[in-house]
Amino acid sequence: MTIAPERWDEEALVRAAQRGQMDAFNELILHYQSQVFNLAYHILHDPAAADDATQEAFISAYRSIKKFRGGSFRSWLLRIVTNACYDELRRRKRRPNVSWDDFGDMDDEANPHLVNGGPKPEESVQQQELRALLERSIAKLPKHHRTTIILIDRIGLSYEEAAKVMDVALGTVKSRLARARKEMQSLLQAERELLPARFRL
Amino acid sequence: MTRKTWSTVDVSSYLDGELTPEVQVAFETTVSQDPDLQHRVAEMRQVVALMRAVPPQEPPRNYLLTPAMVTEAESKPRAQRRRLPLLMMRIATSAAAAAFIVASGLTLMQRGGTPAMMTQSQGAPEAAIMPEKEAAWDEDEIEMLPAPVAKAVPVEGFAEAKKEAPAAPEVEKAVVRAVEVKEVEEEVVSEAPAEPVLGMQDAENIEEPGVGGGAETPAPEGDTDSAKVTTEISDTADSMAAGVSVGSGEPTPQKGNVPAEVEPAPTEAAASEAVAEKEEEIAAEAPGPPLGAAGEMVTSDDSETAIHAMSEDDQALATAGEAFEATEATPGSASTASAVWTPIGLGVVTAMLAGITYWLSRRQLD
Repeated sequence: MTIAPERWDEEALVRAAQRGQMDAFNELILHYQSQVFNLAYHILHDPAAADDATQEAFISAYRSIKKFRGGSFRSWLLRIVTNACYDELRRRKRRPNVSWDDFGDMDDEANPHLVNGGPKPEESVQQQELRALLERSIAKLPKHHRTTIILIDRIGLSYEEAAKVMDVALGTVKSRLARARKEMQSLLQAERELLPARFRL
Repeated sequence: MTRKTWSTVDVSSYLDGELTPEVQVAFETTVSQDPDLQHRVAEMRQVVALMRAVPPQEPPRNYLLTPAMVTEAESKPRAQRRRLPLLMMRIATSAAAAAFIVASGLTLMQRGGTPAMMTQSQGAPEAAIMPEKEAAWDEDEIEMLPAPVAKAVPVEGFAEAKKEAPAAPEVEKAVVRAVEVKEVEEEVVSEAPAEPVLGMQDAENIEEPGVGGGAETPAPEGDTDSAKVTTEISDTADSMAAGVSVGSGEPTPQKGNVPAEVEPAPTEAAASEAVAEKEEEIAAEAPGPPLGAAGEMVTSDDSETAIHAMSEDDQALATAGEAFEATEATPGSASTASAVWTPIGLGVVTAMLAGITYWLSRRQLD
C-alpha cells in the first residue's frame, strides 16, 4: 500500500496521528518502514532482531507522537529506531546470543524473514554476492560509523538529518562518514576479487 | 585559496557536495593538478557508488499498528516494570550492607578497640595478654623501684580491668583512680631513702628480657616471665619480712637477685607483710589467675603512707574488678545481646537481600 505522491502530506498525517488517528500513523509507517527496517537490519545484522526493533520503534513512536514538535519526521523516527537498536546491542553485549555467521548458515526456507527479505529471484547472482559482501563489510564497522554510512549512503539522509538522528554535531557526522568510507574501502579492497569489474577499487 | 594537503573528510565532503564554495573551488583546482588526490577521490567515489548500488532490503512484513498492539504495549512497560523492583532491591541491599558494616564496627569498638585486639583477647589466655601501654608502665615502675618491689599486682589488676571492660564507666573510673594512687605511691617511694638499693646489674637484669617485652613479646612467654617476677618478688618480700635474704640461685637472673648484703629494716618487713596480705585478699576475690603479692619496698618512716596508698590502690582495683564482673557476669543482658546479635542479624538480612537482588537481575536478563 503506497500513497500517491500528490496525496502525500506528511505534516497533515503527523497532526492527525497526534490527534490519535491510528490510520494516519499507519500511512506514515507504510512510507518509512523500509528505511526503518533497513537501518535496524544493518545496525543489528540480524533480520529477526531488526524485525522486532522496527515494530517496537513504530509502537514507541505512536505512543510518543504527541511529543513530536515538528521538523523532520523521518529523522525523529529513525532516531527512535537507532536508539532501540543501540539498546539491543547493549543487551547483547551483556548477554551474547547467536552470531551473525550462525544465522547466515541457516536454510532460507527455515527463516521466512530471509525468504522475504533476501534477494529477489530476478536479482542476479552477482548482485546477491555483492549484497552479501557489502553487508559483511558494513558489519565490521564500529557502531557509530556503521550508522552514519547507512543513514547517508544507504538511506540517503543529508548530513543535517543524520546529525539529528544521531544527536551529534555536523562536523561529527562528516568525520564519522569519512572514516566509515575509508574503512569500507579497505575492507572491500581485501576482497576485491569478489567485486564486479565496474566496482574494482 | 590553495592548500597543500586535503584530508579524508575533505574528500568525503567533496563527493557529497558538502564543501563550501570557496573550498570546493580550491579542492577542484588541486585535484586537477594532483594525481594522488585524483586517485583518492576515485577510490572513495567507488565506495559510495558501491554502497548505493545494492537496493535496500525489503522489510519482511508490514508494521501496521492496531489499537490492541498499542494498548498492550502501554499496559506492559516490561522494562520499567522489571527494573523498578531490581532498583529497589539494590538500594535495600546497599543500605543493609552499610548498616551491617557500621554495626560490626561499633561492636568491635565496644568489645576491645581494633579487630586485632579483639582477636587477641578472644584467642589468647587472659593472663597471657598485657597491652603495650600497661607493659610499658610496668617496666617504668620496675626501673624506678628497687628490685624486690616490682609492682606486679597493680599492673595485672590494671591491665585486666582495662583490657576486659574498657567501655564500662565504673571500670574506667576505677582504673583512673588506680593510676592516681599509683602516682602517689611512686612519689612516696621516690622520696624514700634509696637504701638498700640493688646494684645496676640487678636493675638491668630485671628490666631486660622478661618484663620489658610488653605487648611486643609473645604473650605466653611474657606472661611467664611476668608471673615469675611476681612470684619471686612476692617471695622476696616475704623473705625480707622474715629477715632472710633471697638467694641468687634462681634459674632466671632477672628475677630480683637480691644481693646478700641487702638487709631490710624491720619497718620494711612489716610494710611488705601488710602489702602481701592485701594482695592475698585481692587474689582471693579477683577472678582469673591469682594476683601476685607485690612487696612494696619501703625503707623509711613513710611505710604507713605507703601502706595507705597501697590500700587505696587495692580498693580501686577491687572496684574495677567488681565493675568488670558486673559487666561480664550478665552475658544475656540486653546490651550485650544486642551488641552481638545486631551485626549478625544485619549480615543475614544483607545476604538474603543480595540473593534476591541477584535473582531479580537474572530474571530481568531473561
